[in-house]
Amino acid sequence: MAAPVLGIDLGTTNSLAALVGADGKPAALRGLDGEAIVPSVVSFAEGGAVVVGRAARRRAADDPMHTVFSVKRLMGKGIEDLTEVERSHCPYEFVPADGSQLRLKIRGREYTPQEISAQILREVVNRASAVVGETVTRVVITVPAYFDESQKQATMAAGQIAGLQVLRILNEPTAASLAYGLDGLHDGVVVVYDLGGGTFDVSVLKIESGVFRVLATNGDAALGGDDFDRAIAERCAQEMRAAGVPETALRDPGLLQVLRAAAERAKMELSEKLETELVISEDRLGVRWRRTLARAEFESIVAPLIERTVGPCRRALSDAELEPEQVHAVVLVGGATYVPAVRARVEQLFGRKPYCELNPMEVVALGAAVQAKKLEGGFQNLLLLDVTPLSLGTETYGGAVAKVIPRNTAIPARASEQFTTFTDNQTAIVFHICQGERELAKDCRSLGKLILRGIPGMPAGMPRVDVTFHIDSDGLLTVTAQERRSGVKAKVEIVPKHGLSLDEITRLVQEAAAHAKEDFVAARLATLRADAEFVLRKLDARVADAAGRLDAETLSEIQTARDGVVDAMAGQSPDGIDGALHYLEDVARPLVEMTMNTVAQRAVSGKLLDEVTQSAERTKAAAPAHDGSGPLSVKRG
Amino acid sequence: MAESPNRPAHPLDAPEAAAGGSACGSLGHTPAASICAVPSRCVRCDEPLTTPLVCGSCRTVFPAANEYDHFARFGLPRTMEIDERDLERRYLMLSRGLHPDQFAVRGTEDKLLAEQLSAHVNDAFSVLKDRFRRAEYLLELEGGPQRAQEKRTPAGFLAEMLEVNEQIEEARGALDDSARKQMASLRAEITKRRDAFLAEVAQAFASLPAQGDLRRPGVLLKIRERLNACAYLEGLSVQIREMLVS
Ligand SMILES: [Zn+2]
Repeated sequence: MAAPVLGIDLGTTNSLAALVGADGKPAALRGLDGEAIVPSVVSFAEGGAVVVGRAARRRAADDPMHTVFSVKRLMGKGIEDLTEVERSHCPYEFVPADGSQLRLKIRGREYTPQEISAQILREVVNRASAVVGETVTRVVITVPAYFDESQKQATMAAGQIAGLQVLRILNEPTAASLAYGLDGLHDGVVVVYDLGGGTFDVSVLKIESGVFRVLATNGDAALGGDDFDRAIAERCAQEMRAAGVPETALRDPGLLQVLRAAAERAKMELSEKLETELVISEDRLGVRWRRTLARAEFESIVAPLIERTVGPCRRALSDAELEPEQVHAVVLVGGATYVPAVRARVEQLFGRKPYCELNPMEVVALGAAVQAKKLEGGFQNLLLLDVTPLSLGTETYGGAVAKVIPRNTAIPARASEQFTTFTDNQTAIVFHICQGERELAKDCRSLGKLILRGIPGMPAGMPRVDVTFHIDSDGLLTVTAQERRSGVKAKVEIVPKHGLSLDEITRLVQEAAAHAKEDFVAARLATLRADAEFVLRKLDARVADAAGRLDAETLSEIQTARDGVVDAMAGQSPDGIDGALHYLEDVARPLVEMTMNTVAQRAVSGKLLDEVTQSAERTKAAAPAHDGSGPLSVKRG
Repeated sequence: MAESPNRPAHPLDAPEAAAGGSACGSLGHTPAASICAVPSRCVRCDEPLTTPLVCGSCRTVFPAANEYDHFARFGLPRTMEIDERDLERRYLMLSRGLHPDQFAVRGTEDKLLAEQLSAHVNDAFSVLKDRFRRAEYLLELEGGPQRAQEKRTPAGFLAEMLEVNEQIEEARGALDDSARKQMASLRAEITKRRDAFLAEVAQAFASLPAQGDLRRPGVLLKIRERLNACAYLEGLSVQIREMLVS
């Protein structure tokens, strides 16, 4: 029997896979190390090894120039599509500067975001194959519903480059609804509010005896929890600048990664605590800085971002012709929905407490697994009817867009529109295919051009050209044009301006396959051993630094975890080392915090210390005290 | 083609009866006055057919969607009088029979056919479920004038709209809470007005004189004028909606 079809949530910050078990229920696949989540981070080590996941994230601060975060934000985009903020937070070099799919230049080689995503997919699939005991080759990959054609195609290409057969590109909120309604106990109108690492989707669905029908979808393909981190990091950077930290240090890629990681952790902690502390300590740059951050202040920093989700929610409801009272449940998806202020805003908007029973981190992958099972022939009575999120049309004379398929049309979809020539004896017509809601073609996403040639000479306005759009069940578009009198035809599968041509994909698939022959395990093992050595050196220094002030229990825990790493280093399993390091990281957290605090207190300049203390007191006065001993949440981002 | 794929144990995998797959006839009868030429029985299993595209019993697919109009695809007569609940049930039955996901374990050819047929069904559903689009489509089938050729609206309509337009522009200038409320109720008015026109249209279709009857062009024109007014009202409604959402 063939290996099962795997459901994959390819997220901005985290990725994971799931499968439907023998009990008919989907479950996240845990790797041999017990972890379900693979951070969507890819690091290119010296000597050609590619490190993916937690190991890559560990390398970020020490090797920022060769470690790629949030590559999903770059999928299907040209450099001109990136916001200033997005660009300033990517330390690596982009090529080219013109309008085509951007590439990252790393260690002298150019990578498309599709290739980097393929690395993440490969890691997820390899881990899954190891657990399943068979080589997984067929997958369902989720994408934000609000991704445009280029972005969806880029995701499809990433799957192909990873050597996978992508059976379906599935919208994330739709996937979440599958996981939510699978038990048949939640029929009714459901809103899925999905605020992930880098994208926001809202979908309105009707669930009825196994049929999941999307009524409307909306969103913002460039808004997510990442932006919360950036906003905090940005605020900290401003304050550090004011406190005299030199500009060169503030632009240092390593420091930016440290800042980003600290901001992310502060965000997560503030979901449970009312106050947290950011400690930035980079000996290399002589930077030592700290500040407390109260939940209320955090909320005021991110409020404008949360507010940006309101418009799409209203639009989706309005497109579905529903009032908030007609909604039976609002389901929260995505790591950023842990933030209490997000929950509060959603509750206010829909006038009801959101449904938080599902694990927001896993639910999309679970739904992908359900769809995967369906595509294997299971779940015969379950059916998913999705829509296309953005209107599609062609540019007409004068630059306006004639909409051929409006947004929220059920897919598969087809629609035709008639066009004619503008001048006498015109023998060719160019159809500029656009996606988006704006009136003018220049304000919409350009998807490419279709040229119909060989029209017999006729007076202007005489030819009758039918342009037919077909959107398939993956949401991908094909356009054909035919002149009725002569029967002249043209057909294109749209290759978006920012996409990869079929030739490019084929070449990358071959390259990737060639690479796969190299000994990846050995390369990974070498990198992880080097990583481990580095971590142990740092740890030993810290233990010495904290001498006597650490309780015996923690110290012995750390020692056990350290031994675990040393043992794993002697073994042959990269996952073994990775897992041991991860455990050590968790156990050593109190030590890291303690030493950072001491170092900071010892070395902070007088002026800075005053400021820090004042700010700490202010925030303490504003927020109720907490004991600070609560568990840190580590599984989200 | 009739084989069912493997089924794991799961509530949603219970035999199809619950979701309406098995009984073509359970979706309500096709009125006797039906004018669509739809085969009445499946050539494969001889069960009665609800629609000409797929057999609800054995799920055989009949690749002839292009030969039928939207009404026929749903096994319905050409009429304005469609029960929305019934239409939705028919849509779900067609989707269960034709959605490409249902063909996942079959050959590529079947899957491609399902992509095409399913797109036709979705197209038909979007037209039939919306009374305005349904009327436009019916008028086209009956050979009535299209909007591009005949732009007239009922007497007095445009004059009346001048005032409505003014109200909207005024509200746009100062969109405070009271203006929002006013716009919401104006939008409700507009919808009511549109529904009234559509009721007239439905009536006109119901008593449409036969081909060759000299009164027929007049009735078709009357329908055209009312649909033009509906299109205009819909435009205003969308404007207000966009204003209120932003
Ligand atoms: Zn049959």
